[in-house]
Amino acid sequence: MINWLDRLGDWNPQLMREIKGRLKPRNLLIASVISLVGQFLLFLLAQNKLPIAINNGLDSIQNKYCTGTSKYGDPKCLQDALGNFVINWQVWWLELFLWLSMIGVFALLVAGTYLLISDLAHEERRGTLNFIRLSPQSPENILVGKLLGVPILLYLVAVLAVPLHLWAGLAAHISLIRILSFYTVLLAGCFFFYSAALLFGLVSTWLGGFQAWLGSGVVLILLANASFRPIEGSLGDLLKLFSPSLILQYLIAATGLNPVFSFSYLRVQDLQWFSLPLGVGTLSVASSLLLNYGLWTYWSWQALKRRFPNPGKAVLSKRQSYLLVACFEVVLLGFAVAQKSSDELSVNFQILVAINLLLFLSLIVALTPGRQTLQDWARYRRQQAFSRNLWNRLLLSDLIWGEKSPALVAIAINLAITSAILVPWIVFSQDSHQLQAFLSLFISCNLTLVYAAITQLIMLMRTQKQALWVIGTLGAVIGLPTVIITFLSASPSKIPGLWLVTPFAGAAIEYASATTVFLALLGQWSILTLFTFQITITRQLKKAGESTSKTLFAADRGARNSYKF
Amino acid sequence: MAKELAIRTSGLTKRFDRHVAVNDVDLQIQVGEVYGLIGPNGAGKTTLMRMLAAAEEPTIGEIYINGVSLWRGLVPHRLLLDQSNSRLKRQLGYLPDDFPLYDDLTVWDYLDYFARLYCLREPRRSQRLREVLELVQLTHKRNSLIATLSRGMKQRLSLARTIIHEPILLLLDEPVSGLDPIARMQFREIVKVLQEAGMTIVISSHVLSDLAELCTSVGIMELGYLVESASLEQLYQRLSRQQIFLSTLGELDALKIELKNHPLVEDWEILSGQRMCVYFAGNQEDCALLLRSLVSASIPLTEFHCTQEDLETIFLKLGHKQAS
Repeated sequence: MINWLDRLGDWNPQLMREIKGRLKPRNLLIASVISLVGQFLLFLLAQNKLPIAINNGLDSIQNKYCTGTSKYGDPKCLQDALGNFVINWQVWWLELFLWLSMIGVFALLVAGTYLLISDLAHEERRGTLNFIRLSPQSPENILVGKLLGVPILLYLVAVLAVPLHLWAGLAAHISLIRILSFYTVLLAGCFFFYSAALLFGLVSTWLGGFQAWLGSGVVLILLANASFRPIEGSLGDLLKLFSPSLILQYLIAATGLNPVFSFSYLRVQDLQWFSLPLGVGTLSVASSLLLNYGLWTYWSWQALKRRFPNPGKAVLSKRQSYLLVACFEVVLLGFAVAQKSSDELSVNFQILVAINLLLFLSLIVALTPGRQTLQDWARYRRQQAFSRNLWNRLLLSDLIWGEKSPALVAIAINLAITSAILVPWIVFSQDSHQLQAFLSLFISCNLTLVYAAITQLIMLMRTQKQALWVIGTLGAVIGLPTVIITFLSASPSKIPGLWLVTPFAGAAIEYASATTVFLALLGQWSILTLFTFQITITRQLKKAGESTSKTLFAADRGARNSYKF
Repeated sequence: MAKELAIRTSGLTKRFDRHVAVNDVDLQIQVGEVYGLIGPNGAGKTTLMRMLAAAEEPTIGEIYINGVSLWRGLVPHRLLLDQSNSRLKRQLGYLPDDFPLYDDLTVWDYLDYFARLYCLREPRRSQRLREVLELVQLTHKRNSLIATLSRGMKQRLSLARTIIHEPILLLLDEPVSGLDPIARMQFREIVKVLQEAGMTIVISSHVLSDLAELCTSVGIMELGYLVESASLEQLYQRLSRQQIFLSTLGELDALKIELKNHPLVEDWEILSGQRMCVYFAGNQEDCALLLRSLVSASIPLTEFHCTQEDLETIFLKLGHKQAS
């Protein structure tokens, strides 16, 4: 045992540290008791649902596990020669298997996410992560150690439940290979959600202890949505592709039974991406889930590898953001065009614009450098350039690729990438709302740029809690106009012009005249120009880039002038 | 031949907003030195230390550790970007002024964890752990939980963690703050052992008497600038005056007349009653001559004590110059 732990510690010191801190006899006992008692209670609950003999008239007893026939409701219960009920044990085991699967999925993903975010927040608050950062270990090694070690007691609870789960599955005549495919998908799901949790834990330290609840709450809602709402052939299907429970429908189908908890209402078979049937059969669902997890796990780790060694860095580089946006838009578009219909634009486009708004708000927060970084960039960048031409060339390349430059140009490029992917869809769509969709995309791009400029302006301000300021201001800029207009009962059809300054502009475009749309665009451009001017020229960046001696001389001149008077 | 440099910085600057915490610092520390960094609070010592330890990015400037570039211009050196290349990190040991520890681990497990983080393998690891525990006098606490240790023990444990991987450059930021005199003495002894082992050590501290005892060179920081950086010997030669404390049973005027006649006496200060402090330009032999001349002049001396201005006086004197 010691030898094994020693070798494990050589491979991953962080994992060994987590194991030593958590696998204490008391914790081991509590975890084992929770798992075994939980399974025992579930077993008793299932037992309780079996039919019980009642003295007055056997004919009236009906139970879903009985084998008799019935026109309505559960089958009638038959008895054998010894007077025992004839039970369809396969259904009984199948239901136990499904209960265990669902509890496992929710417990592992929600509780694991909570534990990881909470642990990182704790370490970051105490400052212990800084020592690990200074060590020669790679970020991957440390974070994998965290990922495997922090929820180790949860893993123990799950592992102790595997024998009963496996037994229940085999007794329900589900083939071992199908059960293993469920385990594979669940493991991949854990890896993705835990990686995302680590990233969220690293970037959300400013939430001050609330982040663990927030992160695990979001996972809970996402899983509940995926487990209980059917596939709709819309953009929301992308979210469903994050739930391992999607594969359960085919595990049930393999038994040929129809239990109460059948998941057939999810209509997984309807899941499509660019007309590719993702939901037909265990293999295709499993590989779609694995590919989806793989893709987003890859991006989570790209961000983790950047952010962990240097907490001051933006979560993504500008180059990475271009690739991520392209990747996200292609995936999203696949779900938007999945069900070819003549009204696909009117059904899906507004949802797509809303999702894109969320994506871009996250990108703005991820890419916009802080006040200090921008000051350093503005102040010392010129020391690298030797001539005016080089200076201009460097400026452009710096704004597109640079690590510390303002994010406005990068956001504009990302919007261009998004448009490049979405415009062909609008053009080749058979929907009659092409012009509205086009204008809606254009207006939302402009609005996003305005939001990016506002964020940059706030980040340049000298404030204590910049993250809260950014969220508050953007929330106000996005939400307030909508709330006020709604409060005034001005529906998009009544006063479309007002709606054009909100993220819900798409709803008002069909009612707006060409002049109104033009005026709205003009208004957005004016605001954007004003903000950009404010950021670059008027005070902020130029002032930040001035040398200290200039400030000193200015102060000195001011002092002399006041002395004269 | 000039000695190899353990640390060289050039134009090293760190700005926080418009405030320049470290301003254009050119620092050179030779291999094997114990370098004391002194300065008032907010002078930029901690920021400089953090940049040397690669825990903070400089705004601009260059840092070379044992001739290898840690940071150049606005972009970090390849070595830092490439996390898998850990050579440089293994050469550095950094003890910050706050020292968060894991309360749920024992002393041995904590050091074992860091030894593994720095890729120490058995049997060297256990041997090194024992050595380090012995050095910081915590062998008897090896199986105790960290939560149960006193502040001094925790500080020594942090030092043990910092040196577990045998770094060749040790950066200690306020290592004795909050320690009682005995713990401070223990800490001094440990640092002496580490110096004998060949480590280059940079210590920032407010306890100047400790630094005077430990350091071979001293740097003085003020408002982000490195205003002085020299060997302790040179510093004393340049800035410290020879002082002689005199007490007499007779009149002070007679003593003053005798002192006026002596060419090497620069100035004096009446301290209290019959006691005075004389600033003297000569060496030890000149001191002996002065004593002889005073005795032959029948001055009834009860005290004749030759000494030098200490580091604290030099530091205060420099600070005074800056303020004026």
